[in-house]
Amino acid sequence: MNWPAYLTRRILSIVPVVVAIVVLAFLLINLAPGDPARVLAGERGNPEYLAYVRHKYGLDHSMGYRLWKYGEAVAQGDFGTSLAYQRPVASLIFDRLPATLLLIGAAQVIAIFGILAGAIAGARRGSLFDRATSISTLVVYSTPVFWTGLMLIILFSVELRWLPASGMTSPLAPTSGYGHYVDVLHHLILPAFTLAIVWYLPEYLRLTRAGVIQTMNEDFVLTARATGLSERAVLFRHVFRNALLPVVTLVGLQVGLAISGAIITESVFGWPGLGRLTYESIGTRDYPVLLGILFFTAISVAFMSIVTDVVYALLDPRVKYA
Amino acid sequence: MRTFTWSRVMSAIIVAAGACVLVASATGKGTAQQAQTPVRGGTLVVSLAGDPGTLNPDLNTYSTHAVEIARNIFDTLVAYNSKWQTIPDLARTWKVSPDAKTVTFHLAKNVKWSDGTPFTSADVKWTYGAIKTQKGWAIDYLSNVRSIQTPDKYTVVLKLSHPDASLVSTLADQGLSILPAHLYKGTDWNKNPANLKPVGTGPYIFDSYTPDAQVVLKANPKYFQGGPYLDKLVFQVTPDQATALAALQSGQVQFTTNFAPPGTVPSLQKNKNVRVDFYTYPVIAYQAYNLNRKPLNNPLVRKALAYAVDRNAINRIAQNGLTTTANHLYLEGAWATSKGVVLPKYNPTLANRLLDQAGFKRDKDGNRFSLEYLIYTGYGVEPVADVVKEQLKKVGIKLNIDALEWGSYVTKGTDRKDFDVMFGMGFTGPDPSLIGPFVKSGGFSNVSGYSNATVNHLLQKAVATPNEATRARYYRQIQQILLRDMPRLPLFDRKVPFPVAANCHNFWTDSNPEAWKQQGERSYWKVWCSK
Repeated sequence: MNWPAYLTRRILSIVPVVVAIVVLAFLLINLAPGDPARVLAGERGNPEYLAYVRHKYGLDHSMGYRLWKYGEAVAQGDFGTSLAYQRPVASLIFDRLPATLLLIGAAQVIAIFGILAGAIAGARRGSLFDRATSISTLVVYSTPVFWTGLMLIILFSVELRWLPASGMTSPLAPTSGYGHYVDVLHHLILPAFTLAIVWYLPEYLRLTRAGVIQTMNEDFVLTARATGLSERAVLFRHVFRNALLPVVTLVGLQVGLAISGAIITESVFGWPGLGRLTYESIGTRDYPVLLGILFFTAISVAFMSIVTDVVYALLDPRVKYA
Repeated sequence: MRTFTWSRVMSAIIVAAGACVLVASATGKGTAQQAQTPVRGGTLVVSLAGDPGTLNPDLNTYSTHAVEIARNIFDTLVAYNSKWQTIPDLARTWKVSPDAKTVTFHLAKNVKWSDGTPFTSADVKWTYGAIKTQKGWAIDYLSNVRSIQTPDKYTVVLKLSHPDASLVSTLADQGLSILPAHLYKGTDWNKNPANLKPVGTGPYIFDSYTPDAQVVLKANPKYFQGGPYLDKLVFQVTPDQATALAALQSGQVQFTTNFAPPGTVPSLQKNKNVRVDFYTYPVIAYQAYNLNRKPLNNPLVRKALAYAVDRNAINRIAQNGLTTTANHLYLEGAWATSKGVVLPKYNPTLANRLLDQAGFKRDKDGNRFSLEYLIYTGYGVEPVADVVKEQLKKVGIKLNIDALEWGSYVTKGTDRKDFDVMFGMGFTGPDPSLIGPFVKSGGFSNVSGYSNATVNHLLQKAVATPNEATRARYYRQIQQILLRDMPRLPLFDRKVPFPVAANCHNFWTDSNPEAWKQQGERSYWKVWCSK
């Protein structure tokens, strides 16, 4: 397989996709109701002051002109300045990114248990374990993340006082060293657990289970059994490896999407990541920040899609890309 | 030898009991006194509803979260105490000329910025000048200031283009914090690093700012009005209201700027670690009518609506009885409120008669017409709309509630005037001149499109003299006209429940005099917490 040519083609294909997404996002955001000048001016916005704010932030130009200027700036690596923070958008995004990566990473680690549980549930289809996991994942997947988050806060923070209700660090906690890491970990538990059990874990569990069940009915598995291999060997050497391929695709896409931040989870738990920044930017109509986040998300999804395809091809030698 | 008698035993018991009572009451009194004695030290954590973005509260763009913090780092020329009375701050005394065109302030001496530089009148001149020339968002309040003179280091004289007796009061408002001229002069104040590492004269000194996480302030022991009791003040960003309340109940924070919805108050009051303070804002909740649309352009219809809406029921049902029902055209209990100008009492029978008289008969379904009621989501507004909807049903008016997120609500209502009835809440105090933007022709909060030349004229006359009695007469006339025309119907005065940690005292929401008398609104200067 000609990897350099394939990868070059794939990377180049990201460009029109990202451009289309950014143009669409620009149009949708600007067409949405709500005037950023009004939000920036607060209660006191008399017409003269509003006109000043609009002019200062270039909001008095036509949408087409603003889109053109935005495209020009982005092509030169300038994502503009946040209306609310008065800071470069890129700098804001990269400041918030580590917190989101930490949250998503921790949630993904917890969600690995979903893959293990799904594999066991699929291998023991119809068992008590299978039915219990199916029902419980259906229940948690169906509940809104903000409700689950708040219930966990009430239980673990208010009633038991085991874990903090919000934030990434405690006020006045050490800002470096072992004490800092322990403090962050303490704050990470609830939001990561919430995100994992409401979103990732049920998806991975169900997909793995379905993959295992389907693969166990394949001819090559029957052949493997017929050759006298133990059930354990059949499962680990043949079934699981094949059943996990769709899960790899899902994990890749989830990670790409998750870069934009788990908006609701971060807002409920006061986690200072990209999701929170997105939520606040919507409320303040901070268009440059919203566009920057969408641009970044589009790039990361496209990039992770390529990574997923490469990993898939490496795992499954039958897969060859033209 | 004494003989044993039961009477002697009883006497001894009574005396002993009396002694116990005396000891217990003395101890109790001592304990009570001990509980009232402020405890020095400790850290107060306040939950903030969002990231401030900047720590300069005077810039071009409004940051409600920056304003929450500002009072603790900066001072203003004058301040509002928690009862919204104007009290001295950096200006210790002031004088308004009889023609209300000159205001002279005498500043506190020996005040220093937190970097040690002395504070002088030059700082006031620079700050107000910057707000005017660099368009700080409080520019509207200074638009009448023609010149700022500083005859000496501790005197500031404001010369006004037009008489305005209300100016002193408005200088306590947000967006008018005095900034250090020695750090900002000659710079672009939008990009000045002091916006993120502020230097102020306030009771707390900036320590650190972690964006989207927390702002830490430490006590200023050299504060010119006396250092705070606390060592540190931390503002922790917690946008979600429910999470903030949970953090308060778990002890993670001691005060939350996300106030509690009225429905949560009973359960909060049962929590022994929480106390609920009730704080009155000079804010009137009202429903405004679009006078450019039928049938609301008909004064009889607006009068009928005033009789059809039971404001007491709104307070009781939608606000858990926690607000003050509006019975006048201005804030209840304010000096400018004319007690003789009273809003109509709930009378659906009369409302029906007025609507019949106006020519709006009921159809076969019992409806006369429908109205669109524009509200914003959150902040406990939806229950108000629900109650009004049920009340208007009884007089044959079908109310369609249009609930929008804040930004969309402002665009649709304030900018496009695309509504029939619009719920709103606005600061109409502490000075009564603040009712102007809501009722004067072209006022930026006059969503109704109301225009009355007499009201415009009276508003001007009411600020042209510092004499309160004379001003009150003008405001009475205004209220009489508004009662007749009814461009908007006041519903209740805003009283907000603030849950606080029970072991902490003297929050600006507290009704204890030490908390409210000298301490400015949103200041934590006088707060202390027992261990």
